Amino acid sequence: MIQVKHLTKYYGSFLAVDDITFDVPDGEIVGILGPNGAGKTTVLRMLTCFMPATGGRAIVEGFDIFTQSLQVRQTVGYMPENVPLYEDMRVEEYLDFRGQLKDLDRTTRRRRVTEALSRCQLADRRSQIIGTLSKGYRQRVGLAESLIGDPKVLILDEPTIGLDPGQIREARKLIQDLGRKHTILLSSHILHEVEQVCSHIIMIARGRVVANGRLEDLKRSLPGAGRTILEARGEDADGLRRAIAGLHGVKDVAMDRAGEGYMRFGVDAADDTDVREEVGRMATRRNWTVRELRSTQPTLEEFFVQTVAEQNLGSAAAGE
Amino acid sequence: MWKTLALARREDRAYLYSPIAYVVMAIYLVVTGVFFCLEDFVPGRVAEMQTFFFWANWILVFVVPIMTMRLVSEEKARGTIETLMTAPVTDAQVVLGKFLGAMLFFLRLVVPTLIYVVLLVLYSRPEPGPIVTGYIGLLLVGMLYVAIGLLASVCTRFQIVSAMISMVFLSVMTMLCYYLAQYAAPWGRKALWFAGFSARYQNFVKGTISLEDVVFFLSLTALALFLSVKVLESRKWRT
Repeated sequence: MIQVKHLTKYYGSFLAVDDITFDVPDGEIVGILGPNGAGKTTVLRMLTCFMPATGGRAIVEGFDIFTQSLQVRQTVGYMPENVPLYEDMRVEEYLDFRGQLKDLDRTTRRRRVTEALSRCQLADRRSQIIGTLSKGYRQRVGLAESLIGDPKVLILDEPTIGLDPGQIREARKLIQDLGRKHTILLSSHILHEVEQVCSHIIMIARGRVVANGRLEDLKRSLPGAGRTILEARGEDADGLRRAIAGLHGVKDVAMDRAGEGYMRFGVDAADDTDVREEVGRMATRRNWTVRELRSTQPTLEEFFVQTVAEQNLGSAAAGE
Repeated sequence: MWKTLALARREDRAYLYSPIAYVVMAIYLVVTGVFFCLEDFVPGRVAEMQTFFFWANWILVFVVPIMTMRLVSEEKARGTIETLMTAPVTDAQVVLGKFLGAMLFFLRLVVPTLIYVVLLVLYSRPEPGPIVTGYIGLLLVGMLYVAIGLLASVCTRFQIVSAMISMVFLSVMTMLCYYLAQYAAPWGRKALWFAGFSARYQNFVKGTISLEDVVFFLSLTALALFLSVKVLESRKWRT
């Protein structure tokens, strides 16, 4: 497991990571989510001992990143952003080389390389020169390399970046499969990727943690209930709109055309008020034909965009 | 220990996979070969390889920086420095591994010239002494130049800058010191003779091995390697 306590990083006078604290429990897949420039890669680089922290500490599988850097690097499998590889080597040769760096003896190395090749579906490309591989395969080589040492913890920086949708789906499946055996910490700026794969999410913006928790808990705790959507057809749309707006608990009603003569009403209610019944009754009492009545939950995406915007406003106000 | 060797083997293989290596080897062998044929392998001359050794050293001043410029600069430019430094290896192992790998390539550069020795032996009776010490001197000088090239490579992510830095430094320490010594005042001459690389190398070519010269080359090589490790480490405290 990983414990991060008050991690801070300055690049010169620029504060890139500001007092970040979080935990990655054993066996979980945790996603660090944030816009570009939020500090995700910096956090991961500190955890993998590529860069030292300016303040705070972190413990990876019981080893301190500052004082026990070699042990941390021995325990962790890391795949950096953009998967840098030695272009002139062949896949198998490269994996074998990385195995040597992890201090594996020849038999173990050979076994692990074969395992990694098959787990990442690279077996038919084992003799191919890395420089001739497509992006999707290079990603798999990066993943295979991180598995060579049979690490307890995998740290993946933007593992699906640059892949096409088909490749993204395969990578996602692979990560989920790996998550059964390893603890995984990955970073991404693509929300629905993180939603699909991770059980925990840590949202970072401008170097600070803005949200941290299990996916379901976060969704439930999102401020503001969802909207109620009504699609119906009838007379006097403005009148219906005013009537709905006058309902108890309704904050705002948006109205626009939904095509084929129907109108769509988006009803924002105060927290936890389910206004679907009243809205439906109001519509039918005015002889409107209802074709859809549903409530939508706030999505993580809206929350994400909202908190990032708030963060930017806050920093602007603070006079950065 | 094995990690260092693994790194060294990887560097050597990287050289063998790159076209620059073969260009460098070809240039070196052609130039030294030409001088050997024109000057040393001439009927009536004393059977020795003085001219060969003279040029063998000076070509290295240009060839070694081109060889070593990719050692760390390329990793920094490509981003593979990140996978390298997040592997469980120490900075010292990385530097030593790259040094040994480059030295292995250096040997590939120099060993083919032994054919000249064979030719000399076939057609004459050369004095073995100066030839043996000449090669020892070449090896020592090679180690020093490679270490300096490695240091230049660690300092920058631009290969061309690395090559320039080491080429300029080596030129100064070999050619400049050598030539200036002839025009300098007596006290200056002694200093330049002491510090310059060519003068000491010439001792080996002449047929003498002195402990002072061996220590000179080995300790400077060690210094360059030590500085390389320190520069690599500096990323940890540089802001």
